[in-house]
Amino acid sequence: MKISTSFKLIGKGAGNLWRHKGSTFAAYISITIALLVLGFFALSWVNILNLTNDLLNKLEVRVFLTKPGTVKKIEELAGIEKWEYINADLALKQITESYQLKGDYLKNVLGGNPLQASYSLLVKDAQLIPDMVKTLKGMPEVDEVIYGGQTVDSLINLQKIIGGFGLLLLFILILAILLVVANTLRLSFAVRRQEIALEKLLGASPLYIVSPFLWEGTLLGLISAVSAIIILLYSYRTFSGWIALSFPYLPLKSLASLRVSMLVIGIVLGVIMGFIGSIWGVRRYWPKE
Amino acid sequence: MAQMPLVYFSGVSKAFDDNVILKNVELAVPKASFAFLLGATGAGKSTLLKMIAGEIKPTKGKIYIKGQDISKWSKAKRASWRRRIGYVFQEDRLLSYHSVYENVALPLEIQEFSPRKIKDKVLSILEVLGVGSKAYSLPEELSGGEKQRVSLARALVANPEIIIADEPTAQLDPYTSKEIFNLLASLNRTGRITVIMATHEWDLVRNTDLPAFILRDGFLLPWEGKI
Repeated sequence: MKISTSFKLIGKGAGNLWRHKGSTFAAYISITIALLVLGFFALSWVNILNLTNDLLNKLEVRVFLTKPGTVKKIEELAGIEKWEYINADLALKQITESYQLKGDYLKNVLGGNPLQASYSLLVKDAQLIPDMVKTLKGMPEVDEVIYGGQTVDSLINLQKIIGGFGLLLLFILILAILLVVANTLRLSFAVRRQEIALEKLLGASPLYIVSPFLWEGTLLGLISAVSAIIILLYSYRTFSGWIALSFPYLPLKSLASLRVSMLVIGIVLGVIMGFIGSIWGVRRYWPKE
Repeated sequence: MAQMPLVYFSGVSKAFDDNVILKNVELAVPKASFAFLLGATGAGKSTLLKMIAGEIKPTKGKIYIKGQDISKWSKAKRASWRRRIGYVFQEDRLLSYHSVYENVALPLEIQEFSPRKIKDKVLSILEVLGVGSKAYSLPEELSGGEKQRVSLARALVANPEIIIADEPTAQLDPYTSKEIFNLLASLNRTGRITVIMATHEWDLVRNTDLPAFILRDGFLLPWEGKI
């Protein structure tokens, strides 16, 4: 197909959108709302993921040893990012400091140093912690392992639930958008039935006949996506500003770090769904011999 | 050796379920000829014309275009043949939301002519058919005769090999009807374009010496001036 013909057909697609203003507007609103919900959920998911990862990265595994002395196999365990050996004296010093006590007060009160030597481990991936704890507990040198077990499990479960729910929501919303585009296109096709019959009679190829509808759906997806992105960016800027002021300890993703990916993913998603929705909408009417 | 007909029907029959429309039709339309196709409403005239365009397949028999069996053609080749046909219908079939210019440009756009060529050809054919001043009007702003002229312009703009006119004068007054017929006849004479015109206006046919066929009870017979 020639470039000039392609441009003509894009114009025809845009013209169709304008000609059926009523149904176009209804479809535009529906798709924009669906994309807004999708975008809102995606942003929430990104931030919850960020928050949970932040929390998980701060989790420490504390391994108490049966007797003083370093244990090579603990230091060489796979998945450990950083380790620190804490002997009994250092442990006592840490406690004294954290409770802001003076000198040997604690040693005098307790009549010596009852603390055990231990390892403080920082793990690369929080998801490895449960397995690592199991391995550590199996070592004869290890007396006890303490970690935020409940917290880790809860955070990992939260991530899984949000991920699963997100996928389900993504599927439902994509299906809804495709249905809206397909129905709009079906209507447009029905209105232009006479023109299509004439084009077919005049020897138009199936691609020539169907192209304006594909462009119509794609443009609808693009316009809706751009609108949804503008609303989301503006809302996120306002919301993140408010969060930064009210809850400064919450590690919210910055708008700058999300802007480009929001634009690219949003537009690509809108265009692809518009295109697929229009194919779905006109597939029954695809010109046959 | 006799010239190969442009369109040739060999023993063509067509039935829609149990309703037999055409029975064993034999028809040869030579290149650059003019033929009337007569018959009452529902006699099968439109079906026969659609078969020439490859829109409807015969139940039995073969249709040859320039000696080639149309049933063996690919979709693309059939579409290419349709681009060589100019259609004029009983109702104008102009697209109401497009201007006269856009309506006439449609066959050229389908054939991917350049925008400049489309403009030249459309404006010149509209001028020739006396509707040049209406190029940017909408069809609803035209009279019946003007609409049919625009329809004819659309049929002619891409230099067709054959014009299929399906009762083009049915909705026109006798004067305009005669005018449209004269236009078709002159295109046939001077432009060497083959014309097949379906009509049930017996008087129009009676006043010419052009060959005519009549469809009666599914059979195609030469018309000898009797209804």
